[in-house]
Amino acid sequence: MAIIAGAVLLIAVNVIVISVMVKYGQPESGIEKTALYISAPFQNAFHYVVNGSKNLWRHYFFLVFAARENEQLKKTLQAVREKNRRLAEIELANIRLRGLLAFRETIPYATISAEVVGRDPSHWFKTIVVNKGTGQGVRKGLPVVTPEGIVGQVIECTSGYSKILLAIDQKSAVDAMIQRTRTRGIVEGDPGGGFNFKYVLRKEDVRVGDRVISSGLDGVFPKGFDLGYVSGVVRPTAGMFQVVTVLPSVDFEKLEEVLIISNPPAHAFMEKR
Amino acid sequence: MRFLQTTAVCLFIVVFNTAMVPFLFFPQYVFDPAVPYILFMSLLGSGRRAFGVSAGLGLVMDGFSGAPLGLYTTAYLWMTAAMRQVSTLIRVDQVWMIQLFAGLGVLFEAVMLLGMTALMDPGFRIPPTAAERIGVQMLLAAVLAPFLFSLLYRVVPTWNPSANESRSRSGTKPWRTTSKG
Repeated sequence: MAIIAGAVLLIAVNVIVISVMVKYGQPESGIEKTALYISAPFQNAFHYVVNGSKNLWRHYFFLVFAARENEQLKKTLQAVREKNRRLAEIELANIRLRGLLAFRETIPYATISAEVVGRDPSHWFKTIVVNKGTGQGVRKGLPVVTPEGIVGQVIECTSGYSKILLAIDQKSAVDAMIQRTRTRGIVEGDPGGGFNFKYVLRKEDVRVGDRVISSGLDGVFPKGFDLGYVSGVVRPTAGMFQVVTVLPSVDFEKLEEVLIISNPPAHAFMEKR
Repeated sequence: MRFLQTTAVCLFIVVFNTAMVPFLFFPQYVFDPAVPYILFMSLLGSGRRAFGVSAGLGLVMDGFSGAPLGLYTTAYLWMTAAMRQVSTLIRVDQVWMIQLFAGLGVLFEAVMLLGMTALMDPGFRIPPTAAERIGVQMLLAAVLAPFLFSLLYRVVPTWNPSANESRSRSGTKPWRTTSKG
């Protein structure tokens, strides 16, 4: 009982003292100053150690985790980049195939679409290999085109693959005409990679920039397909013909998909052969 | 096993020439890797195998090419015969010799193919950049041939008994990497 009474008394005295101190403020004394003077450097040292440890953790040990995270992020980035590249490739293929499909619908012939799978191993002959053959209805002699124009002619077939002689090969020749003036001639492959428009009479009006199209008279290529644009005209002082060079409208270095015309128009002279 | 390894190398050469080259930088300067391979087989393979590989590879290349059938085969067989004949007269055991013959092999093949292109053309025309292309190809072949020979020596089985003996005995290559003098 006495203990309880003592405790209550102590609490009461304590509350009164604190109330008085709140009212009159803390009196200045040398004890606090001395305590502060002695303990502050230790506090400072403790603070320095704690902060130093924090920094050490954050900038060194934590870096191990950061390095791991970085590695993981790099892998993710690589995967995303790869996916992005693939999607870009699909997008480009989609654009090309849409173009090819749209073109296919505009021409009045049955076509077989094919992908380029190989090129001529030599630098001097110009052929490509496509992934469609006799099994898909391809046969020797069929014309090959793209939306940009004439590509070439099928020269060999197996059941699943065909070899195509490109129009820029020196052995290739296409009966052609200038669209503007209907001037006829033969477009032959040039060793430099373009075309020569041969047998154009000197009197004919041919200008740089004129569009050259197939005439349809060779019995292979249907009429009206693009071959290219006249890039140079030379009228020699002697001789019957002009020297006309043509820039191909098809980029033969970047061929990826082509259309093989499976029912080209047959001429009477072809049927008699 | 030898047959499979040889077939794999030939297949790689064909795929490289017909499908990979267009994707490389400056494809016009890439030389035909069949040339160092044929030279390698001519030097280190038996005659039967060397001619067999040349004929087989040549026929496949002819099949892919727009060149007249037999042109590649002829070029490869001539190359094999010439290299084998040369190896009976002089000992091709120096790196510079391999470089020289690789360069000459590329030149020989290019001249044959280009010659045929020109012969088939009514105007006997050749591409204006032909000399530059062939020159760079020869240079590249000469630079890379020793490396290709070392690679082939590791991956391709040879039939020449002395070459195999040398390989199994000391693990060294049958050609020297430094000159005698």
